[in-house]
Amino acid sequence: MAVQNSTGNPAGDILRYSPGHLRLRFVIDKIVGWVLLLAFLAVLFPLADMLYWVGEKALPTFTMNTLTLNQVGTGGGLHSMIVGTFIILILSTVIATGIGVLAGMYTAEFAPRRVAEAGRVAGYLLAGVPAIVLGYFGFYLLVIYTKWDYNTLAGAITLGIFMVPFVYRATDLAFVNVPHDQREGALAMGASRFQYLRRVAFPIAMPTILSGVFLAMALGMGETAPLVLTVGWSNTVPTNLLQPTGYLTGAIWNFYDFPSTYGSFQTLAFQAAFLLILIVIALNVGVQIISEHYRRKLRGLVG
Amino acid sequence: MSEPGPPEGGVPTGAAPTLPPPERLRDRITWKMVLGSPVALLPMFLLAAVAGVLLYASDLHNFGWSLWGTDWNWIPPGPGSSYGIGYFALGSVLTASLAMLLATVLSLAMAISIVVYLPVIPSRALTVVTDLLAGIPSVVFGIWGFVVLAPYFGENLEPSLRDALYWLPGFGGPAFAIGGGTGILLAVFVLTIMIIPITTAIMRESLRAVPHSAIEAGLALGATRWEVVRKVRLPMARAGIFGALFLGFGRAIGESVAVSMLIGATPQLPPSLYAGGYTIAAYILDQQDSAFAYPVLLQVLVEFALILLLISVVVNIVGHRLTRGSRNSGTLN
Amino acid sequence: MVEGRNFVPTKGDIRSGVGPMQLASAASPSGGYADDIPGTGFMGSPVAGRSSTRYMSPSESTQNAPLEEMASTPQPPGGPAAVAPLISVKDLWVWAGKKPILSGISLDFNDREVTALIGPSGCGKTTFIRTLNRMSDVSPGLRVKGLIQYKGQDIHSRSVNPVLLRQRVGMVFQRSTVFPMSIFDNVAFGLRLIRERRDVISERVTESLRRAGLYEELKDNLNRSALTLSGGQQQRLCIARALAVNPRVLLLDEPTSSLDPSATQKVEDLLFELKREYAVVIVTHNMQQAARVADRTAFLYQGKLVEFDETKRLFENPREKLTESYVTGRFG
Ligand SMILES: Nc1ncnc2c1ncn2[C@@H]1O[C@H](COP(=O)(O)OP(=O)(O)O)[C@@H](O)[C@H]1O
Ligand SMILES: [Mg+2]
Repeated sequence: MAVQNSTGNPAGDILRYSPGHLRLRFVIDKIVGWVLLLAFLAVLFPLADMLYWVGEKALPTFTMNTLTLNQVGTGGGLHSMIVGTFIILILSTVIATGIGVLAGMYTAEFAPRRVAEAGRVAGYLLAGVPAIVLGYFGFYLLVIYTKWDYNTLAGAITLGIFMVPFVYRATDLAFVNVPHDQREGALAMGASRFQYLRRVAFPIAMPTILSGVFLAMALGMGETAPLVLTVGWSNTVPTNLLQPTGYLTGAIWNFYDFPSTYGSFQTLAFQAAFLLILIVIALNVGVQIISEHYRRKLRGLVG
Repeated sequence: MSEPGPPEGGVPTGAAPTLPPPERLRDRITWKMVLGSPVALLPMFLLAAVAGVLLYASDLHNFGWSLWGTDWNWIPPGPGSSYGIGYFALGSVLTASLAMLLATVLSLAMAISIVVYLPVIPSRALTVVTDLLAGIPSVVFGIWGFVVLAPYFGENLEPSLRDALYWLPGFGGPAFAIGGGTGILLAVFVLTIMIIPITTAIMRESLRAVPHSAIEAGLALGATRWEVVRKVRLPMARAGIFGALFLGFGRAIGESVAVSMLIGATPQLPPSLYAGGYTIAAYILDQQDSAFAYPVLLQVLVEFALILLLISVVVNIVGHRLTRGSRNSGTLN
Repeated sequence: MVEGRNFVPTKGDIRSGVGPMQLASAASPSGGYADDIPGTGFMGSPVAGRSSTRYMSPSESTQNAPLEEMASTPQPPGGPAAVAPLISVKDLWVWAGKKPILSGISLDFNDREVTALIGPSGCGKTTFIRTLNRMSDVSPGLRVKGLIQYKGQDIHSRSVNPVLLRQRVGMVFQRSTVFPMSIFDNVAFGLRLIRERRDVISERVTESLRRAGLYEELKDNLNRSALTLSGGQQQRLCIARALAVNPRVLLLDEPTSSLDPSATQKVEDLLFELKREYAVVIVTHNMQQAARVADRTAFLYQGKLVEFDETKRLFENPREKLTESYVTGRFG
């Protein structure tokens, strides 16, 4: 008795076993791990199926012609849509980067606290506005009201607005996260605010901003609704920005429900899906590479 | 290591007296000219522009109460037409809520897996994979759902579900409602998969944001990993998790393309989940070209868009409040 | 049986044969250097631990019985002479990547003693005590090698469940880590994990708060959020919380570093109470504190154990130059 009291509960000192009714705890811990993993697989499986299916449908008929021919009748290729996608994407990226970077930098570096907070909330809400609502805004303002009819520029502007909040947030974050010592150091050395931003903060912030831009491009490229409502459709490359154009997501949207008796309409849709996924993955890999690079660089800076 | 603090506002420009005047002048000119104070509010201007244009175009009182009903009969546009949003709103809320519930359960599982259970390398890899999936265009989900899933749902899954679960509300109903497989259930399924990457990312970050000290304190008291999750991590990440829920809902209710492709385009009180439905977002997308021809439809769609905007703003404000503590990446919502 | 610190009736299968066992590696408390003792120990289970090595010497006696069955060691009351250490550490190495954080520490901790670990900031004190209850498992990037025995059981043995180990070897962190819940729930946290009965829980919560010297202050509103307590109270709450699960060893990592003098005083007073029933290990960079509370003191410098001795001796008559200059305040 005395011995047990002096050494504590003997059962409790056995590190291997616990009393029977408590062993369940460890069983639950293990089981939960596996169940959660199962849920993971349950989600990844359909996604993997989708990616595989798209590849299977698109690859056998994917040739150079797919990239170089315009759509003719029910066949041909995606040339005009690829060109159209890139025209729209370049324009909207320019718009979104211009607005997003300026506003983000100002929010992080200059704006009074309240203004900055308001800007952040607004950016956040803008990111949450459904693409279809932005699309309808573009449709109403840039297609109907201006009497421009469906046109490429309206699509680019609308998509640009869609992309702004992603660039804006990335820029804001990038400047806010510039290490404090860097800022103090630069300003203490007598650098002006302008010099600090250009020589110190901007190089550090650049990778984050770039990944924000890439992300915005990936998301913008995948959007359908804002373009369906503003760009219209054409199966030739537009000669000016006030004409309608084709684009990759539109190819899927327009051709997805044609039965196979209608020639290769659906095939065009599959190939467009395949191309889109490839480009999105490429952009995402770009983001990963940049942010990994950034992490290294920052680590080097900090210590 | 010092935390990067919030940017201090209103630091005077040209704070360096040692610099020669030209530099300071340039300094002042550049930033004052290029960046007037309103620049920070550009996103707000854009938001206001979108809301403003829609409000300007809106003519709510012209529709009166009929807009809020379920009568939908606009062709031919004329005296007998009615424009009730009821069934569209029902479809939107129903699909978005169901998708949100399913996505919450699944993404919570995925987030816990990634943050707590998986070893470092699989955890990183799956983080990258789920983030990548967030970028897959919704129209791709749509065509996959339409070509692959719809026949499967119509011929196999839904008949067997109906046989097995006929007693469960929503899972019985008439056999004809199943149709070709498109319908609410299919839309919910694909919406769920579409929002999972976003909700997972938010939940993952909020679980990660739980202070390490609290987790270690739990472990040091002899808790297992799961007990730490249940008693420390989940309670402390609660706000972020609910925020993810709201943001997922916002995503789902705003999705137009995939839903339009999969939901069966029928404004009705659905007799079961297998039946067709319609959502506000999908209807705007489908009818915009008719709006060209019929000014009254153009007007109706303005009201629809405005209502959707309102819902999304409310949902996102709540989501934003809830996830504020744990949002540390500018990448996803 | 239900007296003193054993307020839980033993549940489940008690497998321990309770054979009195003299540990060959027992350091004589007056001998000072754990390193002096040639590598001795028990053969562990045949399965090598995840990250541990085992030390065997020719003199080692082969034991076939499972280690757990030698767990309980009788302790002649008051007689320090042949006491087996509760925890013994042999040649412990810890690396972060390629950088060694701890280099070959050998040290042991006796029951009913306060052992202090002193040394300049960054010398590895925290890392060291975190290995004692395998909290180091959850520090990413650390590699641990060496033998740590709790009552003769190799804690890195694959058969040891770290969760059970942590119930026996409790820990209080440098910054108080109260959970955002009520005072009562904080203390009851560990008890609920092991499914204690309701009445047992409230009894033990009271008991633990009393031991931590908090009961009188707080007894009227145990349902208050623990976050409303002062820093000193929070730290003592953490101690109470650790005591509630009935540990044998209490590891304290600079428990008073963020407290004011009077709160520090209270915690130190508490240590004198605690050492009547527990093995207490306290990390401190405050030498006066070590001198006040510790029976034995270990001085760590740059990941190495420089000197380990009775506190009085270590402070008044250190054997190493390094120790002398540290305790006289010439660096650190
Ligand atoms: N997980 C880890 N990864 C990398 N380095 C670590 C880790 N943990 C501790 N260290 C390093 O080990 C050294 C000792 O740290 P610590 O044990 O906290 O010292 P002390 O508690 O004596 O101040 C420090 O230099 C610290 O940077
Ligand atoms: Mg420390």
